[in-house]
Amino acid sequence: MPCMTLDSTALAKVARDLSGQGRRLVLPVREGPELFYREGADPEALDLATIPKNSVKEFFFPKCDTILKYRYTGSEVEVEDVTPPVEPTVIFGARPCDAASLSVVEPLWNWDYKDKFFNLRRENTLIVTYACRRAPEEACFCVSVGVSPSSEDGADVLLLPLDEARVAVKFLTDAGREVQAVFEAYKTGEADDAALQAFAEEGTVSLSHRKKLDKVQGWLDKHFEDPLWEEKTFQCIGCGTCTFLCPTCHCFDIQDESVFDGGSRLKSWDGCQFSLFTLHTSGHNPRNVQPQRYRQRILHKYGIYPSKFGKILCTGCGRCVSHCPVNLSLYDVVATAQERAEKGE
Amino acid sequence: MEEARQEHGNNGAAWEPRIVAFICNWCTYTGADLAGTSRMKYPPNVRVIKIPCTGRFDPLFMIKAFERGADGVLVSGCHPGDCHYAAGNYNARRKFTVFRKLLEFLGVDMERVWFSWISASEGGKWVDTITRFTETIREKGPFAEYREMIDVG
Amino acid sequence: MSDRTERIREIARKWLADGAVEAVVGWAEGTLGGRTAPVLIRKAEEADRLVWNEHCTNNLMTYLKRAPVQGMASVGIVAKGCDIKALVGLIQESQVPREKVKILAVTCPGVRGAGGTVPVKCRACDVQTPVFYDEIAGEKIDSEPDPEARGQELAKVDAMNPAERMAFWRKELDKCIRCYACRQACPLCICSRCIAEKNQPQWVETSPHPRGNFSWNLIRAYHLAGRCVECEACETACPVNIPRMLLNRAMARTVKEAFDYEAGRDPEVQPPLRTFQLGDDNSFIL
Repeated sequence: MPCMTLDSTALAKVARDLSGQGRRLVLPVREGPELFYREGADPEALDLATIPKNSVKEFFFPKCDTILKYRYTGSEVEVEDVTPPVEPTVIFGARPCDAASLSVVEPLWNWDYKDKFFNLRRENTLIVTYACRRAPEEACFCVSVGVSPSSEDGADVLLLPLDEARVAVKFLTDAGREVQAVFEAYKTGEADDAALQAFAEEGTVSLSHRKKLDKVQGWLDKHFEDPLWEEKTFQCIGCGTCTFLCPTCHCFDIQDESVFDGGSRLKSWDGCQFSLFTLHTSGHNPRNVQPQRYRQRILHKYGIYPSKFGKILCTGCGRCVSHCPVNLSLYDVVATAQERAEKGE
Repeated sequence: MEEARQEHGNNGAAWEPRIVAFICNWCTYTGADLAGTSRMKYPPNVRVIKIPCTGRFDPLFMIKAFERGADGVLVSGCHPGDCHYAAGNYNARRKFTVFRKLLEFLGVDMERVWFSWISASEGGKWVDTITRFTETIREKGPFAEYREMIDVG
Repeated sequence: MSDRTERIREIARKWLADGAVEAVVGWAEGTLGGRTAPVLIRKAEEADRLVWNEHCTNNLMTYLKRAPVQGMASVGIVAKGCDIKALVGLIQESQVPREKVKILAVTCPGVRGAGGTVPVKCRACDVQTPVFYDEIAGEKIDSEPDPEARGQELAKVDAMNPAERMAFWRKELDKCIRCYACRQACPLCICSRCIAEKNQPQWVETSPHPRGNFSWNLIRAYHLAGRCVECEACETACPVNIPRMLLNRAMARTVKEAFDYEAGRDPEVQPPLRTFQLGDDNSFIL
């Protein structure tokens, strides 16, 4: 069934119109040499050249979130439950790996506790995904973990840039169909299934050098104590860059901050790569050297999370590879594990 | 700014400058004590935190004071050459030099950060310094922009 | 460039074969174009992994504070002039014994940042031919440092009034996510328990709201005053592109103006905040 196309120059106008309907607008814009998803930016600044440095995670799981407030009144404490400040939002130009990350983490935020801080934001956000014609960065490996450059996962509307001028538009969900009229106002033509197929193939082919990482979980089960961990992780300096830029990493710390007669309880990002992450009150730290912490990262993403929730905790966005200050490539580590598993090692 | 002047914690009363003074035990604290025993009057806005020597001062104290609601911070100790611990205030002087330049670079109003040498016999200087500082801060208003930079999403 | 690579490999091979060091830390080919990755080699045969090119940007001295290098009795480290200045600082502060590190210096025509940019430190560099080392690879380079390079960066903030500066830093430090990449990459951030990791009492708010971020970045800049050698490892590592070198350079300028001191030059000299002069500036004190 053919779908509509519009001119790529109309995208900024569509973004403006969607925000004009009463939505907070988040879109990728250029800051210096890099792109960042930013809220409140001018739609004319929309830049879809490549994958932004930050992920969309911060719009669903902010780096610092107030979860309750309290006040001391005499010898009592009044607790005020906080509802996160949520407004209808549109993320215009999310990459497929970012959109897909939302359905990867959604089971976690709804596991034993229904996290309203994530859910309210998710329910009120419209995702307009901008598919990748070809992998935008050298570090991309979405196909290795079951995502693809034209993945529909997590998207309400999918934009497929068929060429320099034409963008095909698919409306995938009810929420997406509700805004169909906004896009149709700029319709210039149609594209058939063959064109969309060719587009999807071009994307997949651009990543044909990437291994499918389907044997990593099995390998991890048998190689907890493997020299691989020390061999591969010397250069890691234990900063939080990979964990904080990752769209699927979700560890957090909770702190109460008080002033005078009351305060708030804050939920902030935390990371397993920090040296004190597993420090016990006794003083013992079961992961007190970096190879152990890095092993934990891989194990969680490619072993434990899939066992629990049936999905790899990774969408292959490649940020951990591109922005690691010491060029430690997570893909390189898991691909090595995959290779060894394939050889039966 | 006017809202900040009617802030909570004052039970709805009008804003009064909150001065925090880190003062050394041997000189300035004794000087302040002398002002008290001499029944000299000065504004009650200052909260004194006694440290053994200005050498103990750490810029973190100042940051914490601003975070917790101070509108102005004073650090005061013995005159150079008179330090009870011989050289504490010399080390402190270098810390002050460096840290105040950092604050200035960040855009903190330097008139909210004062340093002084007040000896044990200078009760009058203590009174004069506190009075002038309080008036300066009263005119400037609360340092709300530091304390309130906590907006989280 | 390839001469230096060969010479580095030769020296590393010799040191490892002779047992002069337990390991050598250097740069190896990266997994992405335009990158190198720090590597630790323990055997002479591994020396061929070491490379030298314009992407050898990381300051390898940062590994001195981490396992396994921290526990070694002797280690060889490949280093540019700027990296060596960090080691000088560590020796001044008795954090690393001079005998522990065999410095494999490299004469450096300058490295390149992301997108081929020339770092400010390279434009200002006067240690392209290092002076403090054990062995050296590469032919001598006569440095022509641009004396304006560092000041130009600061001029932007100098020109702002206090309200503008506060607004500028609010905007920049608001971005901080408290990943501590700056601290981890820095060779001089060596505290086994950082002030930001202490909670009895908690001096530095750990939450990444603007006030907590101000506290962290301010204190870090202060703790590096007179110690930072401007290797730019922190700014390069920062994933949210905070222009933190502005803070470090401002502190370096203050320390130079007030105490005539430059970090990383002379291992025998006392760091400026550990000493004093009777005639130090008193003008701002009532």
